[in-house]
Amino acid sequence: MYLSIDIGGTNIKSGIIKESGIVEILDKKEFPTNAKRVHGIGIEKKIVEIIKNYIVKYDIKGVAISTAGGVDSNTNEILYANENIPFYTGINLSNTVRNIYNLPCIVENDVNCAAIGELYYGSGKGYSNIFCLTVGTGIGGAIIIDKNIYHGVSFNAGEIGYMKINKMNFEDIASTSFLVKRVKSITGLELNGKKIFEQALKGNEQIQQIIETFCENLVEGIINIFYVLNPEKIIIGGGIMEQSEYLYPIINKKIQYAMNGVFNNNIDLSFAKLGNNAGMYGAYHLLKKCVEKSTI
Amino acid sequence: MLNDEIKLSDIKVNKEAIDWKDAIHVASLSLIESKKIKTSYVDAMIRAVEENGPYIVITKHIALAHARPEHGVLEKGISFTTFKEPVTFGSEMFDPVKLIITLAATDSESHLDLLSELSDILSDKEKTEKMYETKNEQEFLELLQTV
Repeated sequence: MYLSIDIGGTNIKSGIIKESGIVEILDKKEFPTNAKRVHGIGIEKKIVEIIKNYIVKYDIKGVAISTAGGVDSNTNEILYANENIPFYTGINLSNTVRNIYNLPCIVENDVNCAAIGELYYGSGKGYSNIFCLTVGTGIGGAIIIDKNIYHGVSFNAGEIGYMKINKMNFEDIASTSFLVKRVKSITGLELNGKKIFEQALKGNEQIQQIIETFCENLVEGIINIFYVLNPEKIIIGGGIMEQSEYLYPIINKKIQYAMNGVFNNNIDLSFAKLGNNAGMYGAYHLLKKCVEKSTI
Repeated sequence: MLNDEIKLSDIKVNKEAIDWKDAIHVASLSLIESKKIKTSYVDAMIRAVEENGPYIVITKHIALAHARPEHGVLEKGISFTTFKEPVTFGSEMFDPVKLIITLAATDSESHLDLLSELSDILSDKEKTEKMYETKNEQEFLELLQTV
């Protein structure tokens, strides 16, 4: 049995991966990260504690960790993290787990993990070359080529939140933060993402128009991704998923419109299936692969 | 924000310590002199390491010494101390320590933004190397304040 842990800016989730038959997550637990208070080193301490609690109940053969922040997937060290997790850079959870529990452990960036999760257990099943983007308060991305993560020379590949569109960062014009800000500046209303879509469904035309603009921006980015990588499939995940019913027809229509007249003009777009669990599934898969190959 | 909160008197550079406990004492002196903490707070910071391990060593070469407010914080404060000879705390990842930041917080929230801000500055390797090397408090303060 493997233990999978997903470290986010707000929460740390953990669970046991059950492998017989359908792969599923058992004994799921969730803890506040409290990163601003405990820092990266406090996260390390928390991880040690989480493992300790599982180890007495299960025969754990390894620990898979999906985490926010940039990770050097060769050394498993955190390369950078944003201001939500102070002093995370330089932390090596894999070494800690090995030293304390003598268990194999891999650490990988959460968006990369989610992409691997979707590839093997979600919307990407049966495909080899996909691009996953997560749209939430920011935008993340992961490139899968021949079923493997493409990291790039300094582990920045796929970070399309920083892609420039009209001199703006992609994540400044196509994330939920964009929606929230735009709604406030145009209507004066302070609404969160969920409330914004409620208003749109109730028929608020100003807000419907803002969501149209948001989708237009998102599609611009998606088309850029399509032309750089020409993947078999592009999968959208992240917080925005909750509104997939509302968004899917709009996004698809805009893609078709934009790609009209283009030879081989098919962009196969899906929403993610595994939701919050994608990272845990993906990290598990990466660990299992390493253990089987004995590269760890 | 850093400009207002950190003063020249909060910084001591090129100090000496015989071990990590002594280093925490040395790194607490300016806060004791300015009457922001009591000596009981220093003991509590040391006890925290003895009981929990060197979790105050938060990143390469840097320790953030602190304890709970009720252990003797009189007024909120922060101080920075660098050491002539690096100090070993027993942190496998981040030893040896060259800079100790001593934090006296009156509640558990107010210092969090300051630390987030510091985290950006202290992840700049080039800058921190200069901070460890300098023998001049004013220069240290300027390094801390330039973005």
